[in-house]
Amino acid sequence: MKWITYGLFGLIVSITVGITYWAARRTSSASEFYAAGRSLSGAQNGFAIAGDYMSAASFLGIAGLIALNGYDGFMYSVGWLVAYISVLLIVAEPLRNSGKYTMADVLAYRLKPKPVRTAAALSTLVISTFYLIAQMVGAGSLIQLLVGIPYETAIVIVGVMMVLYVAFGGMLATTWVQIIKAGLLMAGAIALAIMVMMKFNFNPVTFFDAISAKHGQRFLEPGLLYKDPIELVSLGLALVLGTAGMPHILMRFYTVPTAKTARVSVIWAMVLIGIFYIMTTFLGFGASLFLTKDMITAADKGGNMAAPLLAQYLGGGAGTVGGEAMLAFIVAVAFATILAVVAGLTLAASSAFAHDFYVNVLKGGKVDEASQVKVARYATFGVGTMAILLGLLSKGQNVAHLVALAFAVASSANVPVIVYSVFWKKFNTGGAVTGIVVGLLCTLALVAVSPNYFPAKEALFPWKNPGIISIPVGFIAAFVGSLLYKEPQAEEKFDELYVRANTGIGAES
Amino acid sequence: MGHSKIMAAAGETHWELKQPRESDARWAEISESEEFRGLMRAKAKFLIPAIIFSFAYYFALPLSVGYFPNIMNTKVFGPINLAYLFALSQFFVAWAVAFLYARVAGKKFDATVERIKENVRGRDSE
Repeated sequence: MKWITYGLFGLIVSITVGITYWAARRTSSASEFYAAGRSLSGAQNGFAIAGDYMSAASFLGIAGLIALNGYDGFMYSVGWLVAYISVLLIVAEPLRNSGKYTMADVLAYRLKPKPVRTAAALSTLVISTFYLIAQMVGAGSLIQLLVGIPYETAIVIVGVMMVLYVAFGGMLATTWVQIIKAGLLMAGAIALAIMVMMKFNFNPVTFFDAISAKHGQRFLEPGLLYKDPIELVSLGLALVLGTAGMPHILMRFYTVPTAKTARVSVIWAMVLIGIFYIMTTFLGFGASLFLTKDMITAADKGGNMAAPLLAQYLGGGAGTVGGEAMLAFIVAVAFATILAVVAGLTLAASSAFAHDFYVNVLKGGKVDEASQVKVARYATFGVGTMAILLGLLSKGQNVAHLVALAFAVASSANVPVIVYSVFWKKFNTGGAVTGIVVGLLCTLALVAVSPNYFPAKEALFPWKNPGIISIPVGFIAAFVGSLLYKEPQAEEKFDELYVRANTGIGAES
Repeated sequence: MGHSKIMAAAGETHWELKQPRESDARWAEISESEEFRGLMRAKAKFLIPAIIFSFAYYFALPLSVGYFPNIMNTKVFGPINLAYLFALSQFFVAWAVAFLYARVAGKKFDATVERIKENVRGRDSE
């Protein structure tokens, strides 16, 4: 039965390689490499945002969280959608109007390009690397678990695939890998949810009655997983603000022609992401009904196998053709999910290095189109090699908290400076550099002394998620830094950025 | 000194220039125009309450289940409790805010932006 899985994996690999070949022939300028020539429609970009965002951790992880912890797992999933309110209302349109390829473009618009690009490239690399390590380790263990390929081989396969997409097909190939993945993931989640609810005649009360009868009403009540509301608020803050500072998500807004299309793409993404997380509830609670806790945890302690095992059950059970085919399908969806997310992260990290650091800091922007693309490709190989090595070195480590850490850095280091840059006249280079550096270091320092690394009683910082402290610190640091530093030029150029960010006059086309 | 010049100037990085550029005055002129200020007032009037409401509604969930579990455990439909309905409602509230914003922006903000752009073009061709 492994052959169905291998066949589907092969199919995904060949389709995506075909896309990369097609995209590579359309990728020769920097704008094509980083922004798919700004040619995408709102719906296409919306699917791609959803594909870029929903990781295997959300798909398998949250289903498992709900299957094992009931209500709290569901509550956790809410923040992933609400996060897009900040993206929609605060950053998407101004960013599209005032930048070119990366988040740093917006900062460099009226501030001194070299220091702010260096700082922004640093935070982008830190965020993307943490997120990438978490995804790589997740990919290695999941593929090992799902298909029995050794961890190391799985890491290398995933690493090589993502480098292939990004280095040769740039943003266009990455986008289509993400669109296909989003389609597959939605289809998989909706199909499984319908199959679960069919058994209850689509009556939610009957469904929840069954859950309450099997696990007790306590399972449907809060508090099984999260004991401390402040911890949840801290995590929630990092999620709902941090998404608006995630470089791989922000980059996607440059792929559409106008701010209005950027807006439409967020709406599409929100519809997809929202439906997906609501479906996940049915998968998670469904798994808790049809499988036993022991079955789920025996396959994987973290609950990652809840959704695949549920698919196998719904298809007819282990050993049946239907069961194995459903299992193989869900496993293939997880594989596509992993590939799409790591490709987006690799592209974001490579552009921070190539566009921000190499082209604009080291070379002062004086690099011709062909060399810009060449450097971006080399950077992709570099990022890919690093990701594979870190993935291999982190085998067996618990890296799940690195995802939350990436969001915490994004919300504490990036979000304050993006917001001030577009909305506050007195913001300047001093504020941007201080904000990014202090936000970044504060987040890392708090996590280093948190219960993530120490037994709860010995940890100097009581919460696993630093957001509740590090986000205000980031905002204050950027504010104070601006007041201490004098830069009339930054104030003079404010009108220009302000008008451009809000009207799109002069925006990159 | 035409509209095309503003458009072109905007694409470059000119922080290095020591002198205020010719077009600085033009940007200031747009930013002080009644039309643009009206746009920013209208945006603030929608966006600030929308952001505050969305965040308040979202953080009310962890705080209410954390501090008032007894109320939140009240069953509403069979075993389906208030905590579940509150969490589920978050999705619909986020969608509602997003759709409302898209509607207001598409109807009002975009039209004002078009008028501002028209004015810039009109003045440049004089």
